[in-house]
Amino acid sequence: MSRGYIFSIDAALAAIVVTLVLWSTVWEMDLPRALPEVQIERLASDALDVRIADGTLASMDRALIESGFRELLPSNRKFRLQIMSYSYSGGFVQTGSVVAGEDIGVMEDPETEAALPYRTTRNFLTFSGDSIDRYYRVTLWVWLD
Amino acid sequence: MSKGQAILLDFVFAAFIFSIVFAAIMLSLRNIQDNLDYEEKVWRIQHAAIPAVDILVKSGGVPVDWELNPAQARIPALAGTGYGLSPVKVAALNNLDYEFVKQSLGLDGFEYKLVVQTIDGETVVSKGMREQGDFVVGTTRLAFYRGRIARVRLTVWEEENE
Repeated sequence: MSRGYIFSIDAALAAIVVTLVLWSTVWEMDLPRALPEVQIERLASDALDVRIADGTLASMDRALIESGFRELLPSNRKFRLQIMSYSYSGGFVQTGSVVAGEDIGVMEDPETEAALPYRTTRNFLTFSGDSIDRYYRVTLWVWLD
Repeated sequence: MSKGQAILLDFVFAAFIFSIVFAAIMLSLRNIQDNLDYEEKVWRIQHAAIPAVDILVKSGGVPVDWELNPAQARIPALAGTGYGLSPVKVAALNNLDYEFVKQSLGLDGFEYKLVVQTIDGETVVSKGMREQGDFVVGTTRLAFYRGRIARVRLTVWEEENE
């Protein structure tokens, strides 16, 4: 092989490497913007707060809860909500459980939330007169459709 | 093939490769620069819009009873009790000057549109200009207004002369 050919192959190889590095950099920079995620975190958190405050979650009515969240979250987002209610009499006793919203799909176990974009949890109480009636623990998962 | 022809062919081939690589590098650099410009602009708007809407919804303002004397308000925010907006503060904000609200919410250098709308469709506040330009960031929070859930949407974009 002549000296010229070796130089050309070397130059072509270097060009391919440089091009790949540059394109991969550009590709990385084309990843989805952070804003929609920031936005949905705040909106989902607010939705949970206002639906706790207006009594929707404490109703434990699945249909009411689903429509209440669909109304507040953007249509391109899916959600799953799990509510557990407890009473306390010397110890916590579970009195109810509701799962609302969409299936998380391939992730059957909601606890495997690592791959989901957003998860938030709240604890709240309801009262009967001056005494605590129920303890609730609610977890909301929201992800892009 | 003579030695001279081989060198010329090699030179042409190398020049061709160089041209392609050079063009690819310039294109990539331009893309990167465009992306950086975009990110920087969005970042600046985002970091103005998000704190501003948080202040509006989560704070009662400075002073906290600013609605009693709106002309003396330093930050005209809307929070009442719990997750509710104060109807008196909402009404007072509606009457404040656009530029004054812009400056007090830290939106210097930007334009904004603030809309407070209940989920059953009543528009309580619609203050500001029509959105324009390529870099418009909208951010929404939820709160109660007179017992109904309301969306507080603040849309921010760069001033035209920037």
